[in-house]
Amino acid sequence: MPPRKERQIDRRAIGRVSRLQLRARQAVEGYYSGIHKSPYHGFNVEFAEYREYAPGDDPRYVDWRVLARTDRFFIKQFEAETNLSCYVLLDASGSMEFTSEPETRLDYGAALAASLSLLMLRQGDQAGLVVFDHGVRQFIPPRGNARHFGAIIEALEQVQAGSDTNIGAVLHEIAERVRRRSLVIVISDLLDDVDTLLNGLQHFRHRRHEVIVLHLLDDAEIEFPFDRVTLFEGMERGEQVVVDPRVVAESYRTRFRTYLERLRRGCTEKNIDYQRLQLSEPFDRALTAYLGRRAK
Amino acid sequence: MTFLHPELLILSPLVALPIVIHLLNRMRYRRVRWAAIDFLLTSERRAIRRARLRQLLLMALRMLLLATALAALAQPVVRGGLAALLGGSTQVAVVLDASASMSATGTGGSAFECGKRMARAELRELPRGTRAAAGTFAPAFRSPFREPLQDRAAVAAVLRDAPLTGGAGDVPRALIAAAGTLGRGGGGGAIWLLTDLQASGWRVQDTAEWDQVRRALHDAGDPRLLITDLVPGVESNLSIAAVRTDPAVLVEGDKPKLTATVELRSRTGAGTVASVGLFLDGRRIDTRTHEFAASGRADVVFRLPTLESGAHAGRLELTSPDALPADDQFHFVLRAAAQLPVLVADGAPSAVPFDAAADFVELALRPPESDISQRSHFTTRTIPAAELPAAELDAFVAVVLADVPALDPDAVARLRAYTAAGGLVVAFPGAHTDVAAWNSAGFPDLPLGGTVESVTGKKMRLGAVSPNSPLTATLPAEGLDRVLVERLFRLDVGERPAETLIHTESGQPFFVRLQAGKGKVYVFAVSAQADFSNLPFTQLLLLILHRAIQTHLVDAAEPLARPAFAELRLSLPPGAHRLILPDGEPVPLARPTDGVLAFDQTDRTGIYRLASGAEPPEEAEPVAAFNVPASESELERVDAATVNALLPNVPVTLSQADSGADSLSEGRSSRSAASTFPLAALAIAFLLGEVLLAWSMTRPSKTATEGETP
Repeated sequence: MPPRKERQIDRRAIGRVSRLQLRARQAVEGYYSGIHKSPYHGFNVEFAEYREYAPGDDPRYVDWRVLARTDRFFIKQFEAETNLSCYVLLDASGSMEFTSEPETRLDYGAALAASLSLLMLRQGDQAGLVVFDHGVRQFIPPRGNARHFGAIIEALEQVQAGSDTNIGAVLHEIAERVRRRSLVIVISDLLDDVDTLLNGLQHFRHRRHEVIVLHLLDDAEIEFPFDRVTLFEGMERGEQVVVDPRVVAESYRTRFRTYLERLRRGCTEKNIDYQRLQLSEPFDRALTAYLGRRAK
Repeated sequence: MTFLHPELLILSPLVALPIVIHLLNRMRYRRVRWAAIDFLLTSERRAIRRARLRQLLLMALRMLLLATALAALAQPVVRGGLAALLGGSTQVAVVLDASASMSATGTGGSAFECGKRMARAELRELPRGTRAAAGTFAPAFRSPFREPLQDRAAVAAVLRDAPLTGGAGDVPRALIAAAGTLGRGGGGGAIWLLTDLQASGWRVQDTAEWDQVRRALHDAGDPRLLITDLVPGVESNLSIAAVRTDPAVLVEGDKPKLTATVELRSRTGAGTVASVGLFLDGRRIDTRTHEFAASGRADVVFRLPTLESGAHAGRLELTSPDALPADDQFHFVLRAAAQLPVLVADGAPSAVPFDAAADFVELALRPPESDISQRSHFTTRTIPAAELPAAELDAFVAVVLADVPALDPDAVARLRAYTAAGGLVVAFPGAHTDVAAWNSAGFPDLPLGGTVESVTGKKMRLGAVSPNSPLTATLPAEGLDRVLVERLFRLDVGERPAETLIHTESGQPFFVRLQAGKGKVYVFAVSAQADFSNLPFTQLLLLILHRAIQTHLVDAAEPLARPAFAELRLSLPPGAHRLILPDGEPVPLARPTDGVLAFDQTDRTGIYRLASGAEPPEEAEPVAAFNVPASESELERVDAATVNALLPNVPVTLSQADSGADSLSEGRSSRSAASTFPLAALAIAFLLGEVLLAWSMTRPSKTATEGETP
């Protein structure tokens, strides 16, 4: 068995990314005070709105000034900022080993996962990591302390591309394990059946998690830049096929575009933030651009 | 199906080249690990299968292209209905007899010229499309055509320029060659043999040869055989069959007799008068006549003038020409030696006259003229045996070892080389001979087994002689019984390739001949001294020595004359040389590394001369004479029944000169076609198909179903 290669994650690039902020677009619940809106409206920190008093309301929150002016009972409601639990789901299946660039898709994904984890921790949120291929290989629950990042980094540096994958089924499994409403970030090549995949993502949405899908693609997968007879070998099951690219290239590109479009449309319909990232673009720049767009 | 160029089929493995290239390409495929493999596996399965099919089809087309191109180059030949469909034509091979007997002259000229005219005329009249080849034959078939051609003018030109040779005919070989020509042209057709039907050329008794002829004709598609008899009707023929001189070995100053054997062949049995003229070195020497009462041979004897040393070109000519002129002249070359030196190696030199064996040998080789009827041609040089290693043996016609005690290795090596090149050695062991040293030296290869002593007071006599040897056949009448042997060496003949020419009465070998390379070794069981026998005092020693050397010289000498087409071997000294042919044509000679040149273009009768450097042809030395073989003078002819018996399953038509050609135009059922056009067209079609397919494979597939995902 070949010695396990330990991944070197570019910590300076991670540092650049972690100065940004990743805000949840929907309310999340947390234990600590953070930058995200809490679904539990309270009476401290920041005023949110008024509503009419109803029997059972705590009379402490009746706004007496409004009562004096209008002679009606209104309750003052406040929003408390809370911390966020974030699960970074990293696909470590065999196909993640693919690349036409200097670093593999898995390297790229690991760097993304590390950056996002650090970013979450720095902004006071909790970050967890799930590594999977055809099943869950590693499950690190979200924590909010600084030492937790060390555990995540260590896990990411050790992760190796595994065997084949079944993303849809694995997402269902993970969704069952994540009980608290969280931000779920899926980092994968998503080379699976589109319907199964969307079903898996839908499971998270069903449990009211916010889902971000970072789809890692190599330029070669999109462009299929071959011009002479080539033996293609599958990365997960070892299938082999000799293909004359002149014969199949156009058809392949069409099919791949169709697949990407179906994926994007499916995510949009399910209110999932879908973002395609191409390995030719440095991950920090790609992530910075994405977070910038998301902040708007 | 046969091929005109079957040798090209050796390239047939090239047909597999596309497979090899395909396999090599497979080995050289770029390998890519691909994550999105399902997109290729599921959605492109049909396209990939189609691409594979196209590749296989492309490979098959390329193989077919190579196969058809190769077949087109090899030019396959088809026969029968397919041949007619492909526009096949019939073919004919004209075979003209160019043997010396075709010089027989009738009212219309020689049979040979008549055959040439007839063949050329008929070639012009052959139907359009008929392919033809032509050749002449004497001992061998000569034709520049590998297979019949449409260009009949070229074929006629070959016949026009064909020369009559002085050689004997060989019909079976000519038929085999002609059948091969037709076979290469697709088989079938006809062989047209124009000949005088002389029996000797048909070699009727050679059944094995005729088996080959039948096989060759069958292999050539059983062509018809048309035979035209060109003989003008020779009723009688005089020829000079042979010439000999007496003595056979000529030396400067000799005035030898020359005997010409003249032969009359007559169908009617009528006699005639033969007048023979003798020419030597261009001068008429004499003319003699002989009256033949009936067919037979007669010797006509001439006395030659005194010969100077060197080669002399001679010619005998029948001055009463007959209907067959080719054999009316007989050329010969006489060679007179300046002298015949013999080297005597004396094993026990002595100052006392006739004390050494060598003295008796010298006396036998150069006896006083009063002792023999003719003067001796031999000169002798006697040296001590110890000087043998330094002697130039090649300058002597024979070497005699007289009572040599022992031969050292250098002497043995010299003697071996001398005999291997054709030299003659005569050995007399004697009282000084060391038997052990003789046997260990290994030369001559005839061990001595010690001496055999006579019974007290009674000397041994010589008994049987070899009756077949000209050396000894007449010895019993020439005093063999006068030789008395006191003692002799036992010669261990054993299983050696040796011939005992003289035995003692008790059966002991007395005189033995061994073959050594091209030369010979004679060994006596007694010395040449009187201590073993009285041989030195009898005439037998002289007779045996003279005959042994002369017989050997005759055997080793160049013949007076040779039959045409015999091979001439020339020992060329360094420098430029030309061979001047009988008609004066010079042929430059390239000297081989070993100096011995084999020259076989001897189809012309007459004297062949060798000119060195810028020497003018008329001064060139005559080296050989070539004549018409005696068999060409025969009048016997084969008839139709004989030909049909020789070729029982071959359709043979035998006709006379004035009607034979008519049948050439008949029976064109045996067609063959050697056209390469259909195959070339196929090859071009395959090439186009290959190009189209290869082009289509470079275009992207349009069959993918939009929206289909893995």
